[in-house]
Amino acid sequence: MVAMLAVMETPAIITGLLLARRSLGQASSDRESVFSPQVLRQVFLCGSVVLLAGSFMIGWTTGDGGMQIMAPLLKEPFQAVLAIFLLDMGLLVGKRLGDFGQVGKQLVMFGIYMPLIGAAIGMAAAAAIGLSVGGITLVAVLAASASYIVVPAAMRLSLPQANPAIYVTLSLAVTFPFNLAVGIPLYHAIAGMIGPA
Amino acid sequence: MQLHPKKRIEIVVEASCAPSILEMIEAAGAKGYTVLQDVSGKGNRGIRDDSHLTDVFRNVLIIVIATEEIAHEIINNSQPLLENYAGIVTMSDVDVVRDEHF
Repeated sequence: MVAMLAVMETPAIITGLLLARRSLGQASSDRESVFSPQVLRQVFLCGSVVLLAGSFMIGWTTGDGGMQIMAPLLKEPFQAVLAIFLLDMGLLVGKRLGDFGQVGKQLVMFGIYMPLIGAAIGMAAAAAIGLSVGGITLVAVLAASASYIVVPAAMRLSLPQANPAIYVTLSLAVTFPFNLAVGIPLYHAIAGMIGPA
Repeated sequence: MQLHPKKRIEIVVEASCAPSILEMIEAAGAKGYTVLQDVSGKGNRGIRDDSHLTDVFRNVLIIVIATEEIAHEIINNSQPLLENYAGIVTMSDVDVVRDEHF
């Protein structure tokens, strides 16, 4: 399940690019740039992905013993670091509040109802394959999330016509806080209702 | 000390596009360049300054000192690369001490 986090960005990028290409009316001759070496490097070798995949491998190979060694840094302060991280995000969003003017009301609504649609589809699929309540919740959260780390950088390379003030603002300032404040508790509650007893 | 006239090109460009600009500068024959990281400002795309979480709004300043022909080639080649990306390209006159280095 955790591995899904590391790989979920790639299908999202490809889907986004294909949708954009279609509405831009570009022929499939342009398919080269979807997988250009620069974009691939950005997606698979950018700092965040390397850290994520690397930590996953370290955790897998060192197991419980490794976790005990890292616990003082990783386990104990986790909630506190998360709180500081979220405050920092708030600062970031506050700095770019002007971007909301470019985004507009309709897109902000999209940033809220799209995660709900994604979560619904994710939950239905997870329940259908018989995952636990926790598993259903996690799939719902993943399906409802919007990337602000890997995807914006990859998009800047492969779809420069798209305005980053819009897509970064939507994923960072609308969908992310919505999922944190409303989404996760909501998906968990529904997963409890539809999941195995 | 004898000074030699050269052209100085300054390119403020968003970080995503910087690698292709640097590649083009070397291909045009420039002997080197300087990159200043994390410059920020405002233009017709709005405010662009570094937000450490997402790299998309980061900008760099590239300085190249070269002969006039190379400078003009860099200017010409920069325009198609900057389509859809935030960038400012300027050229000015400078004098250098070591003629053979630029």
